[in-house]
Amino acid sequence: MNSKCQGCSKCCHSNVLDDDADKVFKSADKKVILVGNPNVGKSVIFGELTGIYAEVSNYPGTTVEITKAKTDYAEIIDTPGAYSLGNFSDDEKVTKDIIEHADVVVNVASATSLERDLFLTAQLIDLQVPVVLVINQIDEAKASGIEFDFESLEEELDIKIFPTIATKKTGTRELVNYLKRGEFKPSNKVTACAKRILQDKNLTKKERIRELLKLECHNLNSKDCDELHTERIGFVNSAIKKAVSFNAPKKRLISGIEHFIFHPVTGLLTTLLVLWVLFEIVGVFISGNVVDYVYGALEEHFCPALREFCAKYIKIGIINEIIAGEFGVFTMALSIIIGVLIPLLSAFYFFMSILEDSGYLPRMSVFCDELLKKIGLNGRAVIPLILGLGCTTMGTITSRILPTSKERMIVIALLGISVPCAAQQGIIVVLLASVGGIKVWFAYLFILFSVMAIVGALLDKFAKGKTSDLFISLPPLRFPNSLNIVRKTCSRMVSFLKEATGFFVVSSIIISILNYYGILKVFENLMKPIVVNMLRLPAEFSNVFIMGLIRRDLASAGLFEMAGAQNMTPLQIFVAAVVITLFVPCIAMIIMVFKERGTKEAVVLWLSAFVISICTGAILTRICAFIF
Amino acid sequence: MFCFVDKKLGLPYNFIAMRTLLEVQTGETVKIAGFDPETPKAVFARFALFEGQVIKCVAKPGPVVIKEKFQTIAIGKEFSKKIYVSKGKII
Repeated sequence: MNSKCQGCSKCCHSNVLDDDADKVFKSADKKVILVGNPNVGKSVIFGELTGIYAEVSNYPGTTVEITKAKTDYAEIIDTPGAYSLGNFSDDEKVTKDIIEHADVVVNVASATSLERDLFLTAQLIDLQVPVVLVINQIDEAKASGIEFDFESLEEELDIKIFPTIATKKTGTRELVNYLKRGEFKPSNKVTACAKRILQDKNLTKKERIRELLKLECHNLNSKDCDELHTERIGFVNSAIKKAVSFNAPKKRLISGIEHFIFHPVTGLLTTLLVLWVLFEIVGVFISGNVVDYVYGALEEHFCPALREFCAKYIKIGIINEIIAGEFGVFTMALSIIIGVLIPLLSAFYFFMSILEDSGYLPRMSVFCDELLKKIGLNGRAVIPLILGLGCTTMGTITSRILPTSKERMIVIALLGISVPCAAQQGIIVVLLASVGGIKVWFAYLFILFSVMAIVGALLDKFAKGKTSDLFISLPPLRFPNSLNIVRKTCSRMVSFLKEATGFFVVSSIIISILNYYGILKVFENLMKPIVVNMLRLPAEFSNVFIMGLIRRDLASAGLFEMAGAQNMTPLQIFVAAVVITLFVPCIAMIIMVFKERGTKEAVVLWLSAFVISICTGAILTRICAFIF
Repeated sequence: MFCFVDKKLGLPYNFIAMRTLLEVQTGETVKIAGFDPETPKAVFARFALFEGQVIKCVAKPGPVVIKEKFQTIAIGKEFSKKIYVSKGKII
């Protein structure tokens, strides 16, 4: 998920890949740019510097866009995690392009992976921009038996260092005070090779940065570049040797879990256990208690009372239909949002946040690498795919963490066709739990995975381009921070409500008007050959298709309403659930696909999703009766 | 530094008798002896992998999962074939 701060007007997000960096940074404020390797805590530091909550997780790739915020002393810019300033990924390109605008670079490093992180620090020092080094997560390093002599490290690197535990707000106040004072100078520990490359060239700051980065991006195999890296490795090793000591780490219970996750048998069992817990929480506990109670109360008391009120006092047919009709704003849209989506999504986001913050997702990437290779992806694709379970549009944006165009195309296709978003999944879990329990839900998942495997394998075979190999640094396994879990869940809920409520209300008005003037009936008749003959579903299911064109969760909400009203059989509910899951991507996602992949791919994706959903539904309705 | 290269394999002679990281067993500790000369050093340096670095293979669920002093890294099969190792000391 990207690092959008939710519900604030102080910050903005930019995609420097699309915009000209110079235009993005036209203001005259002092620029403080946060740069660092993935998953070192940049977004927490950004939050501490600006007072804005940017989403924080325990996996690389949480931030995929730059986020800016103004404070009284500077403009603070958070960048995506990058291992170096180069051309290895879009994240690195974004960071590389904005670095020349920095008045000071706050280089955030993790104390648990300092040796790796200092490679980027050495590169920044060579660029001769003023650098401040924030060494975060020092509590975790201490638990791993790593001790630091920060004074000695400051001397070695010739830059100001701030040790921090950002999640506990330790050390961040000192950093803010230092930035406010505004006395920055570049380190004089530039490598001899960088000095030699830039000597005798009377260059400005920007030209100097461009010259050095040009070499590192376009002449990676050159002798100069090789020498530069060798010197930097020597520089980092010497600093580490003098300032860091290692003791035997304390054995931690959580590190033992790692072996279970990577083992072929226990790893699979862990994944199944995670899915089972998700089903028990969302499908059984929340659905059986909270949804039944809240939605039941709305259906039994609120909706009849509202209908009675409208019939008595308003007496204008179309207004009554819009407010309290079958697809009314209050009787369908808001009832579903309040009674179904808020409880289900809160539970789903809460559960996902725990998974994200524990560090389980990157380990799942490793575990699934071999499997994903069969469909032209590497293990890293697990992250956008899993995040797509939260919101497929966000999953589409996060696909940028994948290095090749082919991989991004495959992931986006899979997200558009076979990955249901959280709101849709929540409703479907409830529906399937009511018709056959976990057995039916696993059958539903099996079908989605099968479609995913077939689509992925075909794309891998026929799409041009190559698949990259996995190379990731695994963050430590952690017990998630409860405050961050709650904040993240709330921020995602606010974001969902902001985005979805308008869509739900407007769609409900449009569908009510279509219903009032009998246009839905015409559409129903047109769709009959597909809905009734092919899918063997009630003719009214065509209304769900209209909702699905706007949003997938709206279609699920429509199915939720219809399942009760039309007395659908368990098989029909199962088939309908699969069809709306595989149905065309929602408007927000298809706009994002247009932006990321172009018109041709977006149109092909939309049409393919439509055909695949209908064909799969038609097959299932004829062969799946044995499940019930 | 100049070194002789086997034209058929495209590798320096001192790597030919060596194992690649992919061949290392789980639980084994090894020292990085070198990298495939065709791959830029920066690819590995970005993850603090350099010649002389001592690493331990902790799991092989497809990719090779290694641990060095500071961090745990998962390296896919293709990249693992590009890292040459010799016996290392226990860390």
